[in-house]
Amino acid sequence: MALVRVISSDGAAFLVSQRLAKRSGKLKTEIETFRKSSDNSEAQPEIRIVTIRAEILRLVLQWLQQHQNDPVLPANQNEQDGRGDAEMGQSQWDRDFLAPMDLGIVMELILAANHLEVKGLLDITCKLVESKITGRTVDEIRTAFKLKSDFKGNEEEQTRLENRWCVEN
Amino acid sequence: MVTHIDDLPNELLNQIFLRLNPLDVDIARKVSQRWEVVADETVGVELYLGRRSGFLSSENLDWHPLHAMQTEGISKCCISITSTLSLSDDDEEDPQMIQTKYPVFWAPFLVKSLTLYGGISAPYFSRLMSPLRNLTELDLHISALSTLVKGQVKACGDILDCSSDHLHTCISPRKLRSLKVSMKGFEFWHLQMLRPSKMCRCIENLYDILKGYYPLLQRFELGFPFFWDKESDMTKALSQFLHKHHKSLEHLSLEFHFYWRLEDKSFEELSDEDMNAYADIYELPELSEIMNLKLFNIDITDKRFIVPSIFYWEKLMLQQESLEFLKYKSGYHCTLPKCLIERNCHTLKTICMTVRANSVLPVDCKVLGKCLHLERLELDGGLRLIHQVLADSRGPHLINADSLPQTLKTVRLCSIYIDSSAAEHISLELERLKTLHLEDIGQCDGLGMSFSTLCTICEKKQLDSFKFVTAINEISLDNAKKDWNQQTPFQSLLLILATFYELPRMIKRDVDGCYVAEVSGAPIFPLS
Repeated sequence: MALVRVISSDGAAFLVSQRLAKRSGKLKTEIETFRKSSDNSEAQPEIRIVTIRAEILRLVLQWLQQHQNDPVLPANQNEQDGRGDAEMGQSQWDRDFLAPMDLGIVMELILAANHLEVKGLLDITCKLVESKITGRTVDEIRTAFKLKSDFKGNEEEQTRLENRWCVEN
Repeated sequence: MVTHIDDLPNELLNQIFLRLNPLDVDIARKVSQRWEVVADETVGVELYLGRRSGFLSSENLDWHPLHAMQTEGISKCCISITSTLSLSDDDEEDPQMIQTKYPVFWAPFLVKSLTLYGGISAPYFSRLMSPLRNLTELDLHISALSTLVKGQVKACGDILDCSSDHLHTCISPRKLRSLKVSMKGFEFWHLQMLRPSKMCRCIENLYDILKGYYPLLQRFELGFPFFWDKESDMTKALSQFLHKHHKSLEHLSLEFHFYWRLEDKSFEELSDEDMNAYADIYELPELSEIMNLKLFNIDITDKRFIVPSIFYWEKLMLQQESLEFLKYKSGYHCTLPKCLIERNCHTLKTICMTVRANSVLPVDCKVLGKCLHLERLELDGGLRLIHQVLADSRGPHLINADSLPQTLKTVRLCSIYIDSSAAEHISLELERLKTLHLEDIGQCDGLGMSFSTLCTICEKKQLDSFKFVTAINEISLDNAKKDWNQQTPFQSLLLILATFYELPRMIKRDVDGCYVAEVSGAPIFPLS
């Protein structure tokens, strides 16, 4: 079985099958470029991902492993379709996978999934964030994401008034 | 370091927002300034609903069926309805049918900007507008005003019950910042086709809208036909409106086009009684409060008549203290308002006026030199009018051109006699000048641009485009003809054009910086 070494930003190397790695759009192109530039077709490709640390990369690969037999979702779908797919693809396993994570990890996963072009993972992580916003008030959202308002005084007051309209209705 | 949601790039945050229900996006946009920006990109769908409006026919727009508003999260929308869509007495009073025929917005809080074209009836207007509490921009086309008929429709159940007789009470004033009445695409023949009763309805509806009070209103724009026999009423209605909004209003634009009388009389038959009826315009209350306008645009251009109300608007103009954009065009040519310009010299960027210019009272550019930010200067003198009365060809009508500010990018002077040295200074010494248009600046004696200046402009290649009409000095042309042999082919060609034809508008070509002429009919006529 052809293997590929994927190295995280902090130097941890993961040895995964090329078949699995190719489910990530980014890794797939990297492997193909390696093939083209290398004389020895038997050589083991080595890919450095400088933006993702080991912990996150492990999670991504873990997710890929679990979903390796899913049909490949075409990239560049519009949002409407994306929404449907995410609902369809969200299994119990996904929910258990995401459950223990804090939002910081989820954000890193989103960035990683986006960088590695793993659409399925991007979908479920975005959906998680979406669920933290849906149906909440502005203050609840700020608490959940540890955000501070940066509106200036008057605007803030106006914003509160606006919220009241929304809540009343 | 923990990764934060604000570490996501805009595209990803946007992707998350796209999954949200529009109502939730509207809440999310209040979380922080960045979220507001991203969210605005998310739900900023501009939709055109209904029938393709004849007034927008030249634009290739994507029109959606009216009922799309029931499912889409719309924030900006333009509605135009077929005229058959108004209930008559024969219609069944079936609430279900009314629902489908008169849809309302699914998420009314999201609607920020609404443009209405014709076909909408008053009860439907009320039904559609009343829930739009976050409306910030309202644009009513004149065709919409003509179809809003009060009390035309029998109330059907609760849905179309028009609880109020006034249109302005349907508009939620809380956030309205911009109110426009436009006549885009409205041509003179439309006006001729309209029955006077319909036009009267337009005017009444306009008055009705003007009766409202919108505390945050910053921008008011009116484009409307001018009716001689309604001038007095109209000016009163407008002055009361401005009176109410003097605190918030920053942009005022009034443009009146097409002169017409509702009663079927031609202008020439105006009797003394008619004229007396306009006299009370002079008695309008003066605006005692100072308005802080940034943009002032009054355009009442009629070549034949001086409209009485123009004096009222002139007074308003002269009060201003923080103008950035000044446009004042009317049949009445006033002298360049020195005090006003001096008072606003730190803010003014654009001056566009019809001015009186003659050799006794020339336009003095000294005062313009104090404007440190002036980028655009357009002056139209009353020369053509004066020509008919007395031949004031002594000139020049513009003095001290050398004090014009260096910040100028666009200069357009029409019907003002300028001498050769001034023309040379304007076209060659202003370092940032990009567009120059000189028309009817005199050609005899020392007036007009000399031919050598024209050649220098072409060589210098500083201007992006220029146009000169009856602007080249005749003596310099004659002299140039004598030196025919020493000229480059380009100069000869210029000479021929300047002698026999008016010079076409010249535009700098991007490739090599050469000027090419824009000739109507032909694509481009290479001239270099």
